[in-house]
Amino acid sequence: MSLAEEIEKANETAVNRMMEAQALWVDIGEARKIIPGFKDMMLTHAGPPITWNKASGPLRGALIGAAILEGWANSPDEAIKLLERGEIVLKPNHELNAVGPMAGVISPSMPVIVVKDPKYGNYAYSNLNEGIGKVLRYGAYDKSVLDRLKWMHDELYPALKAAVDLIVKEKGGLDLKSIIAQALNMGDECHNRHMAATSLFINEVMEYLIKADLPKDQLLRVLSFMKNNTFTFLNFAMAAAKVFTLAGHNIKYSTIVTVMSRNGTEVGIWVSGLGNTWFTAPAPIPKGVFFPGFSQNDANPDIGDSAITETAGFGGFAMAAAPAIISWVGGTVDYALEITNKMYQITHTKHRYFKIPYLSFQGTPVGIDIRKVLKTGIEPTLNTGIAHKEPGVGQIGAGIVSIPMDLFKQALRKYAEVYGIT
Amino acid sequence: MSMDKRIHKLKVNDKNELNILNIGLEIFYNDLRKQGVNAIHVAWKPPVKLEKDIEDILSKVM
Amino acid sequence: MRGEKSSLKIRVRYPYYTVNVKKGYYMDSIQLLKISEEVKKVPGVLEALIAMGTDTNKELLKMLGFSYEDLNVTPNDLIIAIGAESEDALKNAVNTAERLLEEGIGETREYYADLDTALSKNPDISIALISIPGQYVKDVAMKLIDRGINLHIFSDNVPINDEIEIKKRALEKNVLVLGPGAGTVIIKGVGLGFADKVNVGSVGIVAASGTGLQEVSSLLSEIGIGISYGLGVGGNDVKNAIGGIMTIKALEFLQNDDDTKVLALISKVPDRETEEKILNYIYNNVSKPVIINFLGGHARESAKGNVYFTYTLHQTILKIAKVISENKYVEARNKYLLSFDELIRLADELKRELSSSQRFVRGLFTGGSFVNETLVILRELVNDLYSNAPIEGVAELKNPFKSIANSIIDLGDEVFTRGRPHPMIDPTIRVNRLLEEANYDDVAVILMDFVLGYGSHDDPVGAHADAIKHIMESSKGKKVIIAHVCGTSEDPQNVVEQVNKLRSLGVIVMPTNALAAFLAGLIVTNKSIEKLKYVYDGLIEV
Repeated sequence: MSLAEEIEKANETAVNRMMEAQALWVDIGEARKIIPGFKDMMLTHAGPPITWNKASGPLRGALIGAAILEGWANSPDEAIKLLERGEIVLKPNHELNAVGPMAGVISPSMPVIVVKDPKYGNYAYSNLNEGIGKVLRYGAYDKSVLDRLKWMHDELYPALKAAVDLIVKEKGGLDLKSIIAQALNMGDECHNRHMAATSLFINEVMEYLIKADLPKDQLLRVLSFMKNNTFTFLNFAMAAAKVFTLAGHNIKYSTIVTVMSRNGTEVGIWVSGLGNTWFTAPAPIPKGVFFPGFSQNDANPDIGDSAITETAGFGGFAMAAAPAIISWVGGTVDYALEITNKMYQITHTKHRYFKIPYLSFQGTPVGIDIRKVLKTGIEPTLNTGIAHKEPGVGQIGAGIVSIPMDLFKQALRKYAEVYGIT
Repeated sequence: MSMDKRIHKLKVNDKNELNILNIGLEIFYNDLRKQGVNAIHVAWKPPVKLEKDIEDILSKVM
Repeated sequence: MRGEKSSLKIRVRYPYYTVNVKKGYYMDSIQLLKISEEVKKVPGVLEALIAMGTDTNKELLKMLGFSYEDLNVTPNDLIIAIGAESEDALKNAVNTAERLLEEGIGETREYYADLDTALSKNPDISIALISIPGQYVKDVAMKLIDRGINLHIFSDNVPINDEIEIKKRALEKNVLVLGPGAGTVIIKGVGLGFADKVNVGSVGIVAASGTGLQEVSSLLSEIGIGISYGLGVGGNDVKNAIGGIMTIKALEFLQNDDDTKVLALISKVPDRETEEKILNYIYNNVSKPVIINFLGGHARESAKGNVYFTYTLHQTILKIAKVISENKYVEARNKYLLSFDELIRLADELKRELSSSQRFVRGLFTGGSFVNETLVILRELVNDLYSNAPIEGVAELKNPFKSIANSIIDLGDEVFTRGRPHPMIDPTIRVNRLLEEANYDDVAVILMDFVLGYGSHDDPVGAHADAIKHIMESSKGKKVIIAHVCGTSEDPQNVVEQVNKLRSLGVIVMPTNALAAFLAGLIVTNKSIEKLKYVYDGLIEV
């Protein structure tokens, strides 16, 4: 077989596995207990590896907040000292098979959900979504943020633990893939729009929360919290996307992208046939629509592991499925369709299970092929929230961003080296 | 000599029957809109210019 | 009507403000965000918040300076808060907001980043106007031709082999390809590319000459003779390499078009074989009256009664008018013709203001066909004639940036336009060259064209006004500036205003380019009066 044929075969395998992988929510627990490799005095974060020096505002804020939450520091100043001195180990989420939105900081005592793929045996983890506004993942760390995180640990986590244990007993786990597939037909794209998905999730989980026999006021607080946060399902969707892409990772010869992620300073990718090698470049600043009082000048460069959704073939790649999102990209339904059409040109195939109603139920573009990206000059395009560059301010807008071409060039050159192409 | 449909797309009674696709300079699209004609604009970009080594590798892997 | 409005008593920091609440009026938050953005763009608006009455938004309202005391608003109600500089601005903003809430926010422009998407969403395209860099045209053109779409290729510098391939495929698919290098196409009054706003009528023109098409269509339109189609075929079609394929196809189209009663063909002189091909086609297939203008061609006898030959654009206009009707012919003569005697008189008058050392004409043109026509006339009237776009009997100007003796410059030539907009759009190069030429003591006359219409600069004369004024007021000695304006009174720039502006600057304005060239020649010529009359009869009179 020629090299090109080997590659086609490998890509076919990788993407098939991505599409056939299952995603069941099976557990929730503290990061230190649940995530293999998670150590004390460690904080994980979104995107490729980074040092405190290079970190942007939102990530710094989140790290400070997490250090205080864990009790390693009593004040922001103390926290900063610890971080400056390197006394806290910083590690990318992806290197532990975890994902987190925006700053994506996970600390040892934070509750993380466990998503399992029974078909290919992979596990992925994510934290719980705090809601919108002043939240840790946008770099806020004042008392209200920390109090909320404490509540999530003390009330939300046990409630969800009780529910998921019952679900696992009854049916092995909560099927996240089917929620995503349905939500894509209900106006969500499951990266920035989760209204339908969150509703479906609450529908599913409600019965078990009640069966868990929680004190009524706790139950009501838990329900109210999830209901009022339309992004509740985001972290579940991301963990599901992570197991999908894990199934397609480490396939020899494959040129399919299995990680795309940003840390607020750099953006990085992994390629299936090149293992856990990071290829990085400066993270672009998203372009979009800003909330009153804010503008492009206030925006932080792109940040978050949530690009894992596009990597798995939904999110921004299903933009055409979520016309409400298109206001974010400042355009028309036609423009969203156009972007999705462009993504077809850089991916391996159309998803067997995730369909887009507006495109006559065509499958979403899945399996970004670095060869096609370079050949067409089309960069993968995502939707994203835009963070203020100062820690603690929060989300200031929403828009689109592309993954820079340079990453794919680096990856191709490495590929040539690894596979002996002269 | 018979003329088939395609050239006939230019045989119009008035401008409302025209549908124009503009690709390239935006000013021409603006002028067409000013004239009240049905027109769409394609913001064309040149195809990608790649470095030689990338081109070489691509030719072997695609 | 959805919801009720209720006004609130609040303190604000804007000179004019309004805060309204639409009760029970729900809209998606992102839509509302976009609407707020649009309202903020209304001139005079200082701030706008159009959002559902959630706690977060009420906080935001406060933060933005719309302070309130008792806001009885639930998350299911819509707040419309606008602050403006003036009452009018506020009113406009409120109207805009109401309209957008009613209609929803969507783009009215049809923009696509990608040709394939554009084509799949618009299956019924009549013609595509292509103005991308020449080396990329072929791929785009072939894709469109294969879908049966006619083309107007404005782009220049399309490799000749690409052009051959494109036109061959077009013949197979029976679509018309106008260009490459076609500046102008007119379809039932609609202008594509550089075109003037002309009346619709019964004259169909095929032109391998953009400004030629503009001149003839404009001047005919101004005397009420309308154009059915103006089909620019670009500069290469009449070369042997292409063989006049599309010129003939365009003539065929007009011959078969019921609305077209008179045809005209305007072109620089085709290559020998191609000229024969085209003429044979015309003699054997065109039954309607057809006026053939090969700019700079040699005199011909017509072999058939419906075929007429002219040698300048000026004559073409008069001839077409004559074929249309006697009335139109009279109108055309009155508007566009000066008698030989008048011209001699005018030339003598102007000559009187010049010194004896002033002997040369410098022509600075934006339209290639005007250069052509000017050379056709001047080569009969002066010696030592140069141009960077020479015709037979004219010497090549080796360095286009430096005039010699009598020089007629085509500023639209590639050497001037590489990396720059065309001089019809950007007057910078010509303004500078104008000032340069006016510095020479041996220059008597400066000739210029001003081309109006869509695509052109929005005030070509205005853009040159300072330079012209400087020259006219200069103590260095008089220069005669002669110009003609190609355009219609419907053009955005308005031909009448442009002409008046020129006249007020002291420029001599002639009704056609040929007359301007002839007058310029008269001022510097040393030919005999008999020779001059002979030239007049051959190139100006019909």
